Amino acid sequence: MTNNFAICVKSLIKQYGKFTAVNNISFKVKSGEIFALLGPNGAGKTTIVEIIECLRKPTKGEVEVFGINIRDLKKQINIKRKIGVMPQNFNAFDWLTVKENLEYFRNIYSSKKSVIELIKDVGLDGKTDALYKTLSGGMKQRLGIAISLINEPELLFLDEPTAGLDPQARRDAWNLIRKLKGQGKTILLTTHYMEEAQELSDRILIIIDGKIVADGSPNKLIEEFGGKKLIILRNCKESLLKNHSFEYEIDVEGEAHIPFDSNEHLFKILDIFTDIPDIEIEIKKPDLNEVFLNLTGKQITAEGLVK
Amino acid sequence: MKTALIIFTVFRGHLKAWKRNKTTLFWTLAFPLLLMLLFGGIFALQSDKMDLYIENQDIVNSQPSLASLQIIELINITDAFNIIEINEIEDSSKQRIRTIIIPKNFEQDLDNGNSSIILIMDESHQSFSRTISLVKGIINEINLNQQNSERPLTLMQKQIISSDLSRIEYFVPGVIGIAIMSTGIFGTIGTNTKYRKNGVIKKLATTPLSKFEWIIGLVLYHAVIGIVSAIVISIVAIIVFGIKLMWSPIVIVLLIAGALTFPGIGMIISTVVREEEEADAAGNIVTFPMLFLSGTFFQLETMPSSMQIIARALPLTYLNNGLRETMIFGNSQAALLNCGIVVIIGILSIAIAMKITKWTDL
Repeated sequence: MTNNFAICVKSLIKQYGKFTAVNNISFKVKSGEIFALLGPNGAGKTTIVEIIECLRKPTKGEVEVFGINIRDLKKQINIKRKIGVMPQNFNAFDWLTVKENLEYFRNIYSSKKSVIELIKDVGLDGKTDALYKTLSGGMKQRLGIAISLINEPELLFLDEPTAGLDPQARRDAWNLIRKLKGQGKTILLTTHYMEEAQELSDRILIIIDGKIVADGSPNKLIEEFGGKKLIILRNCKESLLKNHSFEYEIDVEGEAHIPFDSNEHLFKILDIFTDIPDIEIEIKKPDLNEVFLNLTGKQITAEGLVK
Repeated sequence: MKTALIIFTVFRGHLKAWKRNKTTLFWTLAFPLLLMLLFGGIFALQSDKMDLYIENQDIVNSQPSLASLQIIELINITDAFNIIEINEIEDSSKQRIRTIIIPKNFEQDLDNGNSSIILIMDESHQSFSRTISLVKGIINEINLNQQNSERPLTLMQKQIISSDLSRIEYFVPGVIGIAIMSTGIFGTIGTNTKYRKNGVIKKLATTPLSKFEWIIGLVLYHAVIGIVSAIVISIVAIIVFGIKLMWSPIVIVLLIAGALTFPGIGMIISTVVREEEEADAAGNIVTFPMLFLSGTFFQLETMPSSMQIIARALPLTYLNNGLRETMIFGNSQAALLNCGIVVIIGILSIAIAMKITKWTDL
């Protein structure tokens, strides 16, 4: 394995008794990129992340973080000093304030990082002396990110960082993650939200049942597995469509779906329908939802379940 | 130096949480106080008669003399004593708080105007002045009825160091022991299961914090809480019940040893208890036998021998004994022996806890 990557995972297997949670997974994370593990709940994402964070032992396979093998117990402390982790369902000490929680973790790392500066960075100024238990869900997540940054880590693990947050809090968290990428941090993001992975990631590894289904950049995945772009026509009589040579489908709601693959093709179809009264036109590009649907025949719900 | 700072950080975190959380304040301070006040009140409402051992040596033709029977009757009339007649002073007289000896030829000497009775008692005992005034009152009454001499009957006193205790004196060190045990065991199990469930332990496991630093920080916190509880309980016991409590360095060592032992046991249980809801039940399984068998409420000697064997296997027994020996009797030597046992159990339990607790076992 090479040391040029922040993380190298090779042929990783994790079994609990007869159950295989992670099944022969290999990937590498480059320094400075946001790498997302995308999949439904129970896909094995958190298990993979916790193995890399030195919390669980792999059954088989090799994992290196900054060139250090995680099986080397004496060197695990060096990995822990270089990484920042916001675990899934993060919590801090209820009866300590925002500032005290950050000071607690700063002392553990013997870090010199300014607590006040971090509080400002994550937008928690004004809540410095508030007890952790009094914070809203979004604020708790932001404090979680701040705590994971207290040791100025080179590699950041964000496990479902926006799970359960309202849309505004989720957007705020995304902006914060983008800001961290701007600072050159390597981020391993775990999520079941397609939109989140698509918005934030440089590369995505789609996992289901402990196996890799696909990997690549969001654009590459969409291009490869997303299917064609669509023009959707509402209130359009089928007779109007029959007179033309392009292919189309009528869905259960009576909407016409016309696939297109180039701008020329798009404008040609739009020319036909733009001037017809009452017809509503929508252009739909495929996203990761289509990728996942096309690859697995299933969709992930907001709760992270497969349907 | 780094380790010391980290341990201090863990300790300070627990201490701040303790100060701010009313529930933990109740269980660590208010509950032991309520327990002490409740039982202290019950003890106070019980019979206030004092045990009085009487050894009547004035036997004539195998029968007690009339004069000796008369003095015993006068003592009985005061209704202040539970009279327990004994045949001879045994070596275990130390266990008897107050004994009166009616000597041989008492009746004859009384007639001759030069008799005496002997009171054997610890002058430092809180009931001494009440006892002596009652006994002197009886003697005055007898003397008033005697015509032969101005002072035919006198009182002789013999000093002993008594180990007899009032029930509240016996109970207070036990309350301190209970406070140390319950905060140590319940506090540790509660903290670990809560932090495990809400993910704090997992977060800590991703940092350079070691098991050693976490556990020692926890022990330090329990030691301070134990000392604070013991001081508060002592002050209230002195003010409310007027008992004497002696504080010495051994008390502090015992409290620290208790703070090693019980959080250590709590850590060991935490490795088995996975859910927050199970924490109280698991804590009760361990603390209940200790509560009733470790000499907190009842003296070990009053229990069946099989129960005594179990009691001697429980760490709270030695903590209670040690605290009682040093705080009540001022007997450092006996306290040190108990202290040594608690320290050994404490070190063992912490060593086992460190061995079997796994950060990665999440």
